[in-house]
Order: sequence, then structure tokens, then C-alpha cells
Amino acid sequence: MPGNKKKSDYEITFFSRGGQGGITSCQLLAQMAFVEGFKDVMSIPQIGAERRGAAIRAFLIISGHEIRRVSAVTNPDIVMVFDESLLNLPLIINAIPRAKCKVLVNAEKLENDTRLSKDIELYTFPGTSIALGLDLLLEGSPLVNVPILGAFSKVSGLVSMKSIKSVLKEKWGSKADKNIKAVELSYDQTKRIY
Amino acid sequence: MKKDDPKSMETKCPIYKSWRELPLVPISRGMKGSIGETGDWRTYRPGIDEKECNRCGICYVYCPDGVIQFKEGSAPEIDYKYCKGCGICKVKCPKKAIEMIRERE
Amino acid sequence: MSKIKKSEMDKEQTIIMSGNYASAWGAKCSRVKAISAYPITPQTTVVEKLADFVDGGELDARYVKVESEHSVMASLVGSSMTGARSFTATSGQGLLYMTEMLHWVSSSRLPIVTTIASRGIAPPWNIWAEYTDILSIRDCGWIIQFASTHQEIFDSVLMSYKIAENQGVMLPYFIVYGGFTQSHTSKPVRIPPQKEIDAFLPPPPEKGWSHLNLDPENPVTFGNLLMPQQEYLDFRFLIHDSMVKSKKIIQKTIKEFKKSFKRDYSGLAENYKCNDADVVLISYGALAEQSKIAVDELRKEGKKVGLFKLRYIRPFPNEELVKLFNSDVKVIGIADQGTAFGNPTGGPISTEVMSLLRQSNRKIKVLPYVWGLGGRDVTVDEQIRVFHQLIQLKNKNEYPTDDTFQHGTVWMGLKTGA
Repeated sequence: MPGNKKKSDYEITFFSRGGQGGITSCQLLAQMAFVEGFKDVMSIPQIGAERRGAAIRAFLIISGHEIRRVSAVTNPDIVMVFDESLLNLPLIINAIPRAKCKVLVNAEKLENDTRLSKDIELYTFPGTSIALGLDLLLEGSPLVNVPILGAFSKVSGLVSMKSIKSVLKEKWGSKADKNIKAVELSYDQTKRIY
Repeated sequence: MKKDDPKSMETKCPIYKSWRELPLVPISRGMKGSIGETGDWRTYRPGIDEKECNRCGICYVYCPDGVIQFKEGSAPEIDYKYCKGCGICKVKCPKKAIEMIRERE
Repeated sequence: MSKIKKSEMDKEQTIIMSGNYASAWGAKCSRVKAISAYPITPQTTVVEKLADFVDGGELDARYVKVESEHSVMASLVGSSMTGARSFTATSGQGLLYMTEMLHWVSSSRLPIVTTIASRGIAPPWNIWAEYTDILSIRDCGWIIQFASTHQEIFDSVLMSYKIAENQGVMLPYFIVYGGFTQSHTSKPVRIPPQKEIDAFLPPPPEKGWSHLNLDPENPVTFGNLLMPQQEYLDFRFLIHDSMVKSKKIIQKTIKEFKKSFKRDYSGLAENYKCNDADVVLISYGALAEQSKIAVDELRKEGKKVGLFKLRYIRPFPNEELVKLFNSDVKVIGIADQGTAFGNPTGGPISTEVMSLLRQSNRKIKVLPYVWGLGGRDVTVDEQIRVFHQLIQLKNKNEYPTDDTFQHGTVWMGLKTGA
């Protein structure tokens, strides 16, 4: 696809449910990638009429160049799935590339998943149990959007834990401790399945 | 636009010969008869019967063009240069002390 | 200012923020004194952020909540007539509902600034990027500028007040950007130190505007009747005259901005690799900015293509366009992200650009486009195809043959069953 991608461009798609914080973590990662030293970043939430519980997409472009595009991300390098139940939705499964892509899923176990292509790299992290263990809740639901940052760091190698922690501290000050713990735990517990 | 002094209250609105002389927007300042001497519009003039008049000032309040001068204790005075002869004062006068008189009668 | 506000830094800071926040930050850093607000998607977070600023004591302004967009603009007429720097934001239907008051503002020569997160017009409901809202009110006597990057949204607010409040201009000012594609996406925006902004943009005169000032001590009547033989016609001409003459002030302000903040916004239009180009695409907004990638790709293949990005459509960049027509260009494509049903091309700006062609003696072929309506995705690949169509027209004199070419215009993305 000429023109759509430069070598220094990385494109990430986020799949979450309305209320899970997918858009927030997309926004946070944009900031973290900028702190990391990328020249330009762009977070693109695909929202319109807000809907709690509905499948929601967000995109992140991080680049060594000025980002000029405004069109949607269709061929991501990394896909982040906030909840394995989202993989039941044809809309989402069909939007995940069949090759040359890293897919990161919040799941306790995802050994024999037939829905995903074998030509991708599949990773999991136990985001829900980490959030529950640390009491990271919003209106009773476990917040996966912070643990997923640590998993992203490990899988992508694009954003260091140092940049993640510095943005979390800047945003929440001393209250960031719990979030930093969650990020560290998920970094350690992220596994490559194949 | 120059700020108006009381003397220029009788001035008519300025006449512009060229768009280059215009201010950015048209505005009106308090002045008598910015649209001309509206007394010309009149076919009937209100006349006040000073004996019947009880000096209540209701005609002064209702006059839509502010041409009735009224001081407490004396009969109202009408400025015929600008009175359009609408007759509202006649209708509103509780003592029926105002009569509309045909001009040149 | 007695105490330093927490967001007023003495150093430049870069913040990752949405296009809407860039607009709100622009208003805050311009030290606006009056904000009137009514929410509408996708603009709402502009006035929400400003409410935060005012509530948090970071912006010393009166914030008025009213019951409709019509009242938003009516209340700003009042505030601006007292000489207060006034601001609001709106979108789509909200802008259309404001229309009557838009004329009131421009004909009162009030330098109000309004940012527009443009969206499709209902029905059917649509809240995504399209410029039909602003394009359909383009003759209201407001300056209309497109901001095609997040940084440009912020920077434009600073420049807009300097331009609008110039005694030789005294016209209201729209800054326009795409709903969601710009309003809700986030990118790094550089916020200069407030001291430097204050030096670039001093406050308006304390005694109010010299032409019109609401002052209880010195009452005036404004908005009264002018008879046909009086100067109604002449005052209309004055608005057009100031609009045309504002071009010089705009160019001067862009230069001053570059001097102060080292960012160059070129002028009323941006010429991107057009100088030696034989095929040029003319467009505006973020999609025009994106087409630069297409130009770069085709340039790598040796194709002489360029992009001519319109930054302003009111005033219209006549001189810049005529200069382009007199260059080497042989074929021009003009892409509108908005409609003008029944006009000569279906897209409003393509018709306006074509009206200037007769000012050049050169024979130039033109192909109008309508694209991206209602937020329909326009990819770089599709933009490359646009250039290929234009090259085809240049080399073989062939207009597109597929079903998207209708009534002389390509309706890009039109579903044709193919």
C-alpha cells in the first residue's frame, strides 16, 4: 500500500467496550510515546454517539515524522483487545490482520483459539485479575486500561516502562502508585502464546 | 462621529456624499427629528383644553414620539414641529381634555 | 494579575490535546472576556474545557449558558458591543440555527471569533467531518479560515483576534476544522509562554471599539432603519471592501506570528510543490493536508503534481489562484468536502475557483470532486487515484468513465455497485 505507511510509522488498533477505558489508554499511550521521543503522535477515537458496553475502536499512530493523515487505520501493526469476549464479534475478528501483526488480548487463558490466524504473534495478559487484585475499579468494573499499558510496553518495545511511569506520575501524582504497580505486574505477566 | 452637544440637538442626520466618508456602522445619537420635521405628517392636531386638563401627565407618558413636554403643576405642552398627530393622547386623556383639530381650521 | 495561574507557564509547553482542546486553549491564551455556550456534537468539549478554565480560576471571563445557538450569538453581540473579546464554538445544525445572528454580527462589525468543528447536516443525522455547515453560510460577512492541523487550530485563534480587531478589518472570524477527525483526535500542541502571547496579542482598547460602543453614559441607538435612498447599499459595500482589504492584514499578521513563534502559515493559501507542477489538486482542511502524502509519493515516481491548499475562502485568495493559473499547470482538480446542490459543479468552492479561470489566458482543464461527505474515509491511496485521474486528463484528454463521474463532477466513493 504505497503512501499509507512510512517505515517509521506504527499503527495500533484498540478494541474495547464503551466504559472500559479504551479511549483513555489510547490517549495515555499517545502521551507516553511522545515522552519516549517520537516526533509525532495521534490518537484517533472512533466514537460518535457514546454507547456504554458497545464495541469501540480507537487508533493510535506514532511516528518519527509529522503525521498528516486523517484516514482510519486499516492495517495495524499491533491490535489490543481489552476483553477476550470481544473476539466473539465478527466485526472485530474481521478487522484483525491475518499476518504481520501482534495481537494482545486481556485473557487468563487463550491456548487454542481458532478464531485468530496462526500467522500473527499472539500475546495475553491477565488484566482483569490484576485490576481486581489491586482494587482498580471504576463504577464496580475492573479497569483494564492501565494494566494494558505494561503489556503494550513488553509486546511492542516502542514505549519504555520509564516513559509510562513518568506520564502516570505526572497525571496522578502520589495516587499513581497503584497504577504503576498494575503496569509492572502486567509487564511481567504478559505471555507470548505463539 | 463627534459627540453631540446640546446645541446640535436640532441638527438633522448627516448627509454623506461618498462611501469613503461613512463610519463603519450607522448609529443614531439622541437628537431631535433625526428623520426630519415630522410635524409635516399631520392632518389633525391635538389641542389641549387647559381648563379641563387635570395635569395628570398621562398624555406625556403615552406620546409615542416624545413630543409632549410635561412639568408637574402646569398643563402639558406639545411640540408641533414634530407631533405627527396620531391622536393617542386624545384617546388616553381621562378628562377628554384633548381634541383633534383639522389643520388650517 | 495578582497570582500566577497554574496553566500559565513561563516556558513553552507541549501538550497532547484534542483539536477541540486546542481551540479552548487558544481562547484561554487570547484572554477572552466573554464566552457564551450551547453544547452540540462535535464541538461540545470546546466549551466544556472553557467552563473548566473559568471555574478553576485560570481564565478571567464571563461564561454565559443560554438556551440555543441563536441566543449564543445574540448574547455575544451584546458582550462584543461593550468591547469585550468574545468567543464561542459550534457545529452543524447549531451554526445554521445561528445564521440570522451571524449577519447581525458582521453588519455590526464586531470582531467575535467562533471555532467550528464542522459536521454533516441532518437529516439523516450525521456528526462527522464535512464542511457543508460552514460553506452554506459563507456569504454572511465573516472571515472563514480552515485550520488543517491541531497546532494550526490553536495558533489561528491567537491570530484571528489580531486580524478581526484590526481597525481596517473589524469583521467576525470563523476558524473551521473537521468534526472527529480533528476535534476528537489528539496530537501534540505547543503552547507558547503567556507573556509572549500577550506581547503578540494585546488586549482590545479599554474604551471599547471606536465605531460602536455600548456605554450607559453615552447612549446611542444601533440597528435602526435606513431607507432605500439612504446608505444601506453603501454600508454593504463597506463590508465587502473591508473583507477584500483584510487580505493585507491577514498576510501581515501571519508574518508577525512567524516572527514571534517561528511557525509559518504561508498566507491565504499554501502552495505545496505547485511551482513546476502540471497537475494540481486544490482543496482545503485536513484532507488537503493529507494529500501532501499523495503528492510526495507521486513526486518520487517523477510525476509533476502539487497541492494548492486553500486556508481562507473568505476573503477568497483570488491573486494566489490567478498566479497558479499563470504557472505551468495544465490540469486542476478541485475537491470539495461539502455540497451546493444544483450549483454548476455540486461543490461550492470548485465553482468559485472556476469563476477565476477567465482571469488567465491559459487553457486549463478542470475536474471538480466531492469527497469525504459525512466523514466518509478518504485514504491516501484514493487521493493518489485522484491524481492519476488528473494525469489521465492531461495526457489523453480523458475524463473518468466510471459511474462516480456525474454531471461533470466526480463524487468520490459514490456507491455504484462496482
